[in-house]
Amino acid sequence: MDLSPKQSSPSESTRFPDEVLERVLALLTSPKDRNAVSLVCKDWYTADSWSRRHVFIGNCYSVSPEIVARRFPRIRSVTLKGKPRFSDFNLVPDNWGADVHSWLLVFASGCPFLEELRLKRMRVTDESLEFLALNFPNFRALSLLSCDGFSTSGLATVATHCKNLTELDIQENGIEDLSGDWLSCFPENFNTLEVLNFSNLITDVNPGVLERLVSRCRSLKVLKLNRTSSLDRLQRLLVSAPQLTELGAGSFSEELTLQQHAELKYAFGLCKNLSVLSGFWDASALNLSAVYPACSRLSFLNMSYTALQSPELASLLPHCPCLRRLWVLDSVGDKGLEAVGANCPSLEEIRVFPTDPFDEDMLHTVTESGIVAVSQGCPKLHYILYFCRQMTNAAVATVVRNCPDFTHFRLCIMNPGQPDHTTNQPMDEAFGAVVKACKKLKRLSISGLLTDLTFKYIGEYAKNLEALSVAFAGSSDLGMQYVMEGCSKLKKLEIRDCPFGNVALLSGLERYESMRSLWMSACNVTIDGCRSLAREMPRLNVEVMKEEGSDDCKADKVYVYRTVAGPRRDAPPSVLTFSGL
Amino acid sequence: MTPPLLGGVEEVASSASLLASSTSIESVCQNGSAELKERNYMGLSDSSSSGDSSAISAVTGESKTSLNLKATELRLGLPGSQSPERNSDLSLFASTQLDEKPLFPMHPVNDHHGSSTPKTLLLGNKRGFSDAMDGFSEAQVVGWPPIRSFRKNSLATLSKNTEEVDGKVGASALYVKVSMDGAPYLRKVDLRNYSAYKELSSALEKMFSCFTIGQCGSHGTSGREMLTESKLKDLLHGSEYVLTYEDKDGDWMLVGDVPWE
Repeated sequence: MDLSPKQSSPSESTRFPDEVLERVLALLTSPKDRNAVSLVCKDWYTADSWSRRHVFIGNCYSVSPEIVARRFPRIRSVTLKGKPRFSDFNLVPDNWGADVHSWLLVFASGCPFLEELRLKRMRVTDESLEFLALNFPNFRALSLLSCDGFSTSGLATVATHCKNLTELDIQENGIEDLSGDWLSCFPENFNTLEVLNFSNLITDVNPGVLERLVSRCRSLKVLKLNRTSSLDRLQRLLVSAPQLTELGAGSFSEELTLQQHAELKYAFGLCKNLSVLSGFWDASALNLSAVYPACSRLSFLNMSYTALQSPELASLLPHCPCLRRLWVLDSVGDKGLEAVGANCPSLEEIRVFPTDPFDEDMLHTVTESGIVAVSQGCPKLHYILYFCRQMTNAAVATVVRNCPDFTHFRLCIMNPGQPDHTTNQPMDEAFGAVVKACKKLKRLSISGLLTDLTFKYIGEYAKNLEALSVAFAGSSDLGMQYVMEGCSKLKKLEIRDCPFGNVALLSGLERYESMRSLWMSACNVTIDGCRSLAREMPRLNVEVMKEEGSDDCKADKVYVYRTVAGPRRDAPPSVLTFSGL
Repeated sequence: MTPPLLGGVEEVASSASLLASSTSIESVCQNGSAELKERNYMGLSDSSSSGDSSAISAVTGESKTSLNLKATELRLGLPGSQSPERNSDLSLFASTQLDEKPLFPMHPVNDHHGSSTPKTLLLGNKRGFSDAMDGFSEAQVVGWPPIRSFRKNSLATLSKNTEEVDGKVGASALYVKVSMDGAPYLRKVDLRNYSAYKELSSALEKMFSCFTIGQCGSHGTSGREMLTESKLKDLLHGSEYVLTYEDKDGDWMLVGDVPWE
């Protein structure tokens, strides 16, 4: 091609046929890459729009369904997140919003090829599920995490009408569990299921139905049973589906005869491909030994629904040489965590949940020794979530010295405002150590007694921080200001019960449009402050959730987020929306 | 109209079920007889033991361990504390099964909360906590510690700390009276010190060894094997003593049928 500058315009010389461009762009799957690509020029924007197959929407109110459908008419898969994360802890009123129905209505005509829908913290009614099942002929995969508003009847309509369903993943939802009959709604010749997770549900499904379904679905890879599923059923299912890669066992506490135990162990031994194990509600030590044969390739073990003791964990771990992720309850104690340090050299993630969150007697607990023991044995650790009742600055400093690669550091000292228990000092130096040592830190949750100094450290050192969660911390507006000024990559900030007021809120003016959202509750922000913010920044939605009986001028809960869709029109009366528009 | 959530309400119901399951062993008696005859704790073969057995029940507390309907309603509290009168609309019924096995009390709730927000619901739960646990201000903080409802509900049935035992302060002791036929005095054991029936029975064996020259019964030869028909017979015929206890209904039960937890 003649590239002489006088004769050919730049756009001609660089223009690919659209088809080629789309083929090339199709190789880019990460949303971030795709977004970057679409900004290059109009041609590339168009090519991306036509070829985009998956859209991730982190805040359902940041954009309208019409805009999405217009821009990406050929999408196959949508991930949609709704309520603020603190709704998981009952801080958001039930009728707040994030209803998926309006999205489905638009997509039914605008994105008819939709195959996959993954929702988190959205409101989903049975009516919506039925609409979904009836209006999207290619629909294949449904995942509902932390959603609410639906019942097992809704699941029944999905099972009945989605002929090509490959995935049904129901996790941790507020679901009305009416009966187990929904499973029987899959037609007798239906066999395409690859993922079935109904661990959320309580009522028992018809045992024969499940067994037959599993034996028909030869491509089934992920099966997560609910709590009421017996060991007997589990044994039969494993024999029928040894190809599983992920298994969620049901209850694990039944007493077994020697024969039954041997049969269960044999069944587990058939499963050569298991990489993920979860469930195990109420596992007894004896029964756990049946699981050992299946653990040789295990990379993720989730034992966080059973109060495992340290000897049980110590017996189990040597059978899992490839373990990379481990979730447990604090019933394992520091001794159990020592066993982790001793047996899991490849460990990258550990989460320790509290057995009894309201137990002040510390009968089940882990301390600073536990976390140090893990860090000593697991140098590859990069993700930690740790609930404890006591911690020291020195221990945290040791942990990050042993493991400087943390990307996610979430420490929850469960008594609000608790100092270092050996020195009685604030925990500032602990988190200072974290942000100084861990250059790749993306997510941080802080707790304990904390002054503004913690935030000074965060603003100064945590340059890659994207998500910060703060509770019962700080001394003045300065704290929040440090963060807003220093953390240029911040995307999500959630604050509760901190002495940050309007000055702090307004210090983030430059930042909010590049963030997904800000949450502030039980702080010192007023309605006037919110109004000012909205006025200054017209492309933000500023919402205040009022609590009954609070002062008129107080902004009890503030939720601020960027949006191209303008103020939302579906807010309930208890939510005040301020907009600069 | 909000469909009822499996969220916050379940949390409280789960503890009730735990309560039901954990207080099944009220008093442990060793009977000298090979037969499972109803006996009162004096060792007299008195078939109508209900009168006396209620006296025995009184040892470990009446309202807590006699599993009346009230006990299966939402009860949260420290051992030793009387549960306050509950709001009826917060009570979930574990409708039919009052047996000892920890059941899943997470029955769907008919919505009797109308327009109440989850926060109100949660406050209700939390009030229950704080009423029973004096001075535990932490329990009054909504949404703290930050744990999802689903996990909280599951944890509530695992927690071994929400049992109520009469008169015992703190979640650290579950004392029951133990008597042996013919022994001049009784003993008390803390069930929390043991993690399996075998341990308990060996400890009792040691405790009462001075009174007997025979072998005390123990359950199973290894681990926790289920007691089959034949094993039971072996025990009964092969040993002089058998562990029994009196349950909520005043019936004498063989120790070992119910999972230890």
